[in-house]
Amino acid sequence: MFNDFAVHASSIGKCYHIYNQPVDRLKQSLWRGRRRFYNDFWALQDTSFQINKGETVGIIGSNGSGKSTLMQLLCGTLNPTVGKIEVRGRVAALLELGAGFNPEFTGRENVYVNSAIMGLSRAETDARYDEIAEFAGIGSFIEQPVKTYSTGMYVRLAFAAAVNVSPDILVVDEVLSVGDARFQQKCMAKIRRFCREGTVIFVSHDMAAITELCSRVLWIEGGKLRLNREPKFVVEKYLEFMYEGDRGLEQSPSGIATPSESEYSLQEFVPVTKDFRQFGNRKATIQSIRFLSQNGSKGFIYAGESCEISIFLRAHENIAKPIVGYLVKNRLGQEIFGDNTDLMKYPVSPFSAGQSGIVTFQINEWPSLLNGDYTISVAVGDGTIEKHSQCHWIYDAIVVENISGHPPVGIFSIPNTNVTFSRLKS
Amino acid sequence: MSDAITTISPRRTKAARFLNPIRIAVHLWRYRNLIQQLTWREVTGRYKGSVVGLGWSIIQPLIMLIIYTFVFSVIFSARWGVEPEEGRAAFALTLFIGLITFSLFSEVVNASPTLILAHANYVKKVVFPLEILILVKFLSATISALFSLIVLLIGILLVYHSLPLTALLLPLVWLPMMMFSLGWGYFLASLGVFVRDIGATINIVTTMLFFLTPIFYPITAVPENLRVIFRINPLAIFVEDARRVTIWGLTPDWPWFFAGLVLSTIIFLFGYAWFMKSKKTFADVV
Repeated sequence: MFNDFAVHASSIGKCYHIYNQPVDRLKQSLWRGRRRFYNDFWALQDTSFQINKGETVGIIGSNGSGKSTLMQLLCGTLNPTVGKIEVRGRVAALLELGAGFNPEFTGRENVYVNSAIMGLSRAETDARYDEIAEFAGIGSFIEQPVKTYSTGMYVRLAFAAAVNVSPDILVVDEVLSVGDARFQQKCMAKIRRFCREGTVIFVSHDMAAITELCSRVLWIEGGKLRLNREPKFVVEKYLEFMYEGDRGLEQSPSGIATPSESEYSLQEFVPVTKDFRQFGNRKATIQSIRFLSQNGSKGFIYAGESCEISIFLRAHENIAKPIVGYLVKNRLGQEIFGDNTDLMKYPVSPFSAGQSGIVTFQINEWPSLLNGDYTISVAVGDGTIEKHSQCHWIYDAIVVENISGHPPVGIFSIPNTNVTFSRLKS
Repeated sequence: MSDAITTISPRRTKAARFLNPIRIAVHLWRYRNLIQQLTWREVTGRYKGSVVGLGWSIIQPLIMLIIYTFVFSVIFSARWGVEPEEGRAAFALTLFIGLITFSLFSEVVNASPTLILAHANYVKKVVFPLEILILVKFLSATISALFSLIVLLIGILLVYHSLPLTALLLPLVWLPMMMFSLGWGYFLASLGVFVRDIGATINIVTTMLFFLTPIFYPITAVPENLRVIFRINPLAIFVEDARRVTIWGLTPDWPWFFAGLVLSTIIFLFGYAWFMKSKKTFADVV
């Protein structure tokens, strides 16, 4: 089992010596150990892990976490300061596509040089050339210097060249967000096929893709390996960290806090401040808002989960017919869905001046939406939906990240749908 | 599917590994495909898109030769003082061989300091054998030199009506010069990454060397007491030996030749080893 590894890292660390001027480096090499001209910066420390053949492993971490350093170490473009990495097989990196390309060379020449760099002989490249050219799909432009290419063409050629060298280990990151939809499909299809046949190391901020593709996820943070476990667990911990700050790892895997039945802790509510975009006559105002998902998070939501949107109001004058509502919009500003107490035929008791209350919308099944950030706008008014005065409307009060393992076709998909087939007798 | 295990570790490679010429040759041979492609690209790319194309490889040195001949032979009335009847053509040829020899050296050395920086992509983003870059530059300069050499040999045939047998020794005579150039090339390529000034100043140094090397004057034209300074310039040895062998039909000045050979070998090995050892830190600076 041990011998089946693709990558084996033992206690690797990378320390950058930060010099004030390049010439100090020269001085350092002459003075060796006797004087110090640099400051230490440990980009990566004491990291050990093993990736077995055929695994698809994801690597996540915030910016500056040491992720890229680890990538470079795996690809061999950097040497570790301590520890060692053993890599079995040929590594192709799809990081910074076309980084090895020379702008003056033609596409064809770059493919050959790229393949030569990867260790292929001319004959091997000849054999693959047609396949690469076809995959890239840039036609006769392949004979033109690469500097004349559009970004899309550049990326397509770079991807085609890198992926068709039949590497044993493929290291991919999010460069694939460039390129048109058809190309992205082609790339993802190729990567998926690769996941079945070989070892893939996938670096991404796209939690949905990570969850979908990887069997294991490594979370690098602050230069250290924080977690090395199944995707769902690591992603959840990571998102908690991102949205709520560092609470450490004291929580047990299944210890996902369920909102208590007792009264809400208003401390969990996000207060409304002048920074929010808002308008209204302020006869009643929304003081604070809370979004709480089934797993206890306030920053992200999975498709199918239940969640609550709680709005804490205070009336400053008598409000006879309070109407409270919310609206969910995508990052393009399209209104996706929303509701209000009048449409729901839920009568909110009238407020007299000075009274406060909390309106909570309970959503039992968050729809399957396209992945990304969504905003929730909230409002309170007085009257009916056809005729009301706007007391307080807050645009984009809350931002949540939607994570769907199976993103929908279109804006959303309907959960719990079934399909059946019956043959007819002719 | 190769099963070769690559170990990436900070283990410092002993400099001794890089001092073994056989090892060096084997190592570079591994990349012959890449070297060939890059060299070809460099040679053809030089004049790509121009009308005359590769013809420039010949025309350019010829034009420089004509200018030098004119300035030194006509304006300065310089004479070589070796042969009794010396025509301008003979002078030009004598000049030419020195020019070609020196140009090979200066082309490599002038380009080296900025070579790595010019290929920053190859340093940080891919695993690339950077030592190839200097070799490629050297090979393309050699090919240029060969073109000029052909012109020279034709010139000799036309003026002297025969080629001296000793001309066959030219490859031998050039060997130390090539190692000298490569050694300095590697050393400067590495240094140029850390000390950027070198790229700017190297041209001045080679120009100085150009005038301080007996290319368009014989060593005998230098005053006796200063001759030592010129003698210790290894390029003087290379140029002089090249001249002896191709123009005057003499064998190389063997003592000086061997001194030059030993010096050049040391410089080559030192330069190469220096480059290979410092290679790892390029990525941190570039």
